[in-house]
Order: sequence, then C-alpha cells, then structure tokens
Amino acid sequence: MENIGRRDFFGFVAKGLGGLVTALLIIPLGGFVLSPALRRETEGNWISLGDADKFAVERPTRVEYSYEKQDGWMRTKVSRYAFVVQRPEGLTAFSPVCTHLGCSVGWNEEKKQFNCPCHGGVYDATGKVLSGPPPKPLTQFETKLEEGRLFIRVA
Amino acid sequence: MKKLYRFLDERLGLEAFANFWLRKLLPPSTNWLFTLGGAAFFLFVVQIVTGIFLALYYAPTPNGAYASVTYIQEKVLFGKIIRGIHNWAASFLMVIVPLHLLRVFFWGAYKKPRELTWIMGVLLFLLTAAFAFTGYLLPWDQKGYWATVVGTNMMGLVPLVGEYILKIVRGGMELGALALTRFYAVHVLILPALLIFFLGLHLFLISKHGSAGSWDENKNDLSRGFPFYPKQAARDLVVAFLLVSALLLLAWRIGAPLDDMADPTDETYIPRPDWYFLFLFQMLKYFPGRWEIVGALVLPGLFVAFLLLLPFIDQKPRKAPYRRPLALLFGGGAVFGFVLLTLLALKDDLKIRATQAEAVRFDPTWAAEGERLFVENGCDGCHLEGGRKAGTGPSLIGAGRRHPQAWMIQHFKDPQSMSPGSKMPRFDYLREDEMIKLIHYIKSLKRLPSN
Repeated sequence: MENIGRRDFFGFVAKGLGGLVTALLIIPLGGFVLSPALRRETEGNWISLGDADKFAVERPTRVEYSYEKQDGWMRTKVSRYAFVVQRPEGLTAFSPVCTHLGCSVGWNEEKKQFNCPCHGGVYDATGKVLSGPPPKPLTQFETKLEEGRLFIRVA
Repeated sequence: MKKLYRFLDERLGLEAFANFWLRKLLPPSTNWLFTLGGAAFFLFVVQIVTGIFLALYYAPTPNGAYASVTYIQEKVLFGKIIRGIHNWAASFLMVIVPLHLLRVFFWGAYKKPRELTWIMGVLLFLLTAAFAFTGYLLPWDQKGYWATVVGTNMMGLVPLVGEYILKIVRGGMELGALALTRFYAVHVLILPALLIFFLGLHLFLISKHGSAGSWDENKNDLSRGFPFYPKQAARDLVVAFLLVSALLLLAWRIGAPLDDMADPTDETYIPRPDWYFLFLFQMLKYFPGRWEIVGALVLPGLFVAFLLLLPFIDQKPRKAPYRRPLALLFGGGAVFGFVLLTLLALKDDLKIRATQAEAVRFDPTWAAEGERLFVENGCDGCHLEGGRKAGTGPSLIGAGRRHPQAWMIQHFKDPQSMSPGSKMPRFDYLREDEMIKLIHYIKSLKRLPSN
C-alpha cells in the first residue's frame, strides 16, 4: 500500500469511477425496462355477460363482451369472449385462451369439445383436457349472479 | 484524382485498409460456395436500408401500426415493393445464414484459430432469428399477433421467473401498446446495434485469419492463391445481383403478406408462424402437459449451446467431413429434423384447412342476393357504404371470417345474446336461407380500393 505510484493511483481512480458511472446509470435504466414486471396487478373489473337464464344447458355458449382497459399509455376498448355453460351446479364461464401457449379455442358442437387450432389441444365441455399438449384445464372466470345477470371478473 | 487519393491515403491509411480487406490472399480452393457469407452480408445491408425507409412511414401503436402498414402497401409509391423486399430478404436470410453455417460446419472451418469467428457467426444466426421474431408483430395483423402470443408464452415457461420474463418482454400480461413499442425498439435499435457490432467483429476476424479454404490443407497453398478483389468480389456481386433480382421479382409478383388486423376474439383464425419457425411450432405438439418446456426451451437451448461450444467440443485438427463421422451425423440429422418437422407441420395444416374450407365455402350468387337483402332490410343505414364503413354499426369487413356461420345466425336473431351491449335490432323475421345469403355477402366485402 505504501508504495502506490501515481500511475497505479490514477488507474485505480479511473476504474473505480468507470464502475461507479456504470452502476449509477444501470439502476434507473434497469428499473425503466423492468417496470411492467414490478407493477402490481389491478383488482380487475366485474363485467356483465347478460341474463343468466339464457345460457344453454351443457352446451357452451360463446358470449362476446367488451370493456375499457388501460393498455400502457392508452385507454382502449377491448373485445373478448367467454364460453358460458349451464351445468347442474351452476353457471361456469371459461376463458377461451388455451392453457398451452395462448391461442383461442373454439367449440365444436358436433364433437362436443373445445379445439385449439395451434397445437391440437382438445378439452371437453367442462374444460378438462382430453388430448394434446395443454398442461391444465381451461381457465374459469370468477363469476357472480346479481339480479339475474351473470358477471365475470376480468383482469 | 490520384492526388486526392494520395491526400486521403496519407491521412486515413487507405492503402493499409485495402491491403487488409481487399487484397488479402485467398486459398486457391476458394470457390462459389464461399460466396454464402457475402450473400448474408449483402442481405443484412438490404434489410438495414429497406428497414430505415419503412420506418419513415411506420407508426408503432396498436391503432397506428396496421393503418400505417396498409398505407405503405396501398398509397406509398413503391411501398409494396420496399415492404416486399424487406419481407422476402428476411426469408432469404433464414435460408442463406443457416447454409453458410452448414458450409463452415462441414468444412471444419470453426477449428483453431477460428473459434471466435464461428461463435460470432452463431450469434449472428441467433440475431437473424431474433430479427424475424420481433419483426412479425410490427404490422399488428393476425399472423404477427398470434405468432407473438405463442412465441412469448414459450418464454413464460422458464421455471420460477417465467411470469416476470413474460411481463418484461410484453410490457405487461397482455400483448398491447407496450409490447408493440418494445418489439419496435428492439427490432430497429437494439438488434441492429448488436448486429453491426458482431458483424464487424466477424468480418474483422475473417480478414485477420484469412479464409480457411479447403479441408484438404494441400489445396490451401497461399502462394498459389488470389486476392479477394477482384475475382472473389466479382463472384460475390454476381450472387448479390441474382439475390436482388429475385427479391424484386418476389416483391413485385407476390409482395409481403398482410392479414386482417389483430383480433383476439377471432377463434376461426388459424395462427401459424412463418415457414422458418414451423419446425419449432410442430415440435411443440409432441410435448404434452408439463413436458412442454422440453420442446419449447430445453431442446432449442441445448442446440444453441452445442453450436456455441462446438469449437471446444471438437478440438481435433482434422477437417475433412469423411474423417468426422459424428459431426457429419449431427449436421445431417439437424437438417433432416428441420425438413421433416416442417413437412409434418405443412401436412397437418393441409388437413385443417381442408375442413375449414368445407365450412366456409363461398357462393358469389348468394352474395349478390345478400347484397339486395342488405339494402332491403336497411342494414346500410348503420353499416355504411354497403357495410364497408362504420356508421352507427361497425364496418363488416372481415366479420364473415371472424365469426362462424352459427354465431352469425344467432347474432341476426338476437344480437345482444352474442355481443352484449350491441345496439343492433333483432332480425329474427329473416328466413335462415336469407341470413346465409347475407353472411355470404358480408364474406365478400373487401376494403374499398381508394378513400
């Protein structure tokens, strides 16, 4: 330590300051990029899908709904749809998003199953996986009934 | 002229530059196969130039992207050509870059002292794929949207941090405005910067170590070699000329595809990636449930790791492919696997498309009757210009493809049951065949050519 030369000293200062400058910039830059992952999710909204008694028994009905949503810096009206099926234990609302990699499934009335057009996932009317790659059954929306109308909670 | 050259040479060192880049001796065995790298370089330049020009008109927002790309296609002079070249050159790159990689692989040219040249090359190959993947989403059409949904979901499979990665890549859980600006910034700023850096290093190393030439060292006697300029440069430019001719022809005759605007509610759309990612798409079908991560991440990851580490795995100096049976087997196997999976994906799709075509068979005479019904029933009071323009009701272009026939019929009978909140009155007095004719008319609707 006692024999530290001028050169060594300046080299030490240059490297140290270089590291410090980098660190000072990396923190805000990193936060800037990661911000969407750090933001807390909102509670979600209850959306009405209409009268609860119109849904067919054991046959999923495709219901479109739309709502206003904050999409980054813009507010936008998004249209989505759900499959609602009347079962003995009540109404179930499925998200059409395939649990494999997120394509939209469609209901095939002839075969009584949901088919995913991407990688061939197949689900039955209760959302259970019959074949193909999906790892989980179809996602069910949280539902509630109010004054005879069906509501689902969307993120 | 000579004076000017001397002036510049004294200050910039042009002679040293030319000696290093242009007059470098190539082994006598250098042939046409050695133009593949030059072809890839040329295509990257084409992409940078056409990309910059496309950016003059493109707007990276969900509302602006599709409209601005349509504008480029339809209104900008040579817009179809420039976008077509950008699209086709991307496809060409996905052929030429792997061919260049295979050529180097089979020639054993990654061996000492060219390990870093190879690694830079592999990184450039990955960058090419990243360019293709991020470029997809930018037109904000159905194809780009769904390919990106699937592609980003694959990243979400990473254990523990998958969800965070997904959110960082998409700028949130769903694919929206923030995803588009991110993909745009990565595609036009970050990837090009990386490309120029790695490409510069790659070219520098090629010039520093010289061309590896034949795998038979007896044919690489540099004293019998020739300088890069003019012989090999002329070959490179012949290839460049052929490439640019093919690009222009394809851009002019076929152009770049543009689907309907991205629509997450369209379940009849069959999402497919471009042909060069079909093998990966097909592979995902074989890994059910919790094994999906194997097809989506583990196998591709192992493949890339193998490519990057290859010069250290195989350090033996022998280069001739017939003396490297394992390498030959691996290279051949990779090519075979790629071709086989791509063909299987195409075969599966032919089946799906056949059943879908059955369901939506289109009849022009019905469409004509549908048009009459459309006016008679006052539909054009809300769906203006024969349904092509939004009034009180939305534009109906594309609606016939978005919704299955049964949905449309139910929607005529009771619109609120299918889309709650719709202002459309019930048309339950129409006969079923009248509804089908209307559906055929709606299917026939196309965007007006000028507006």
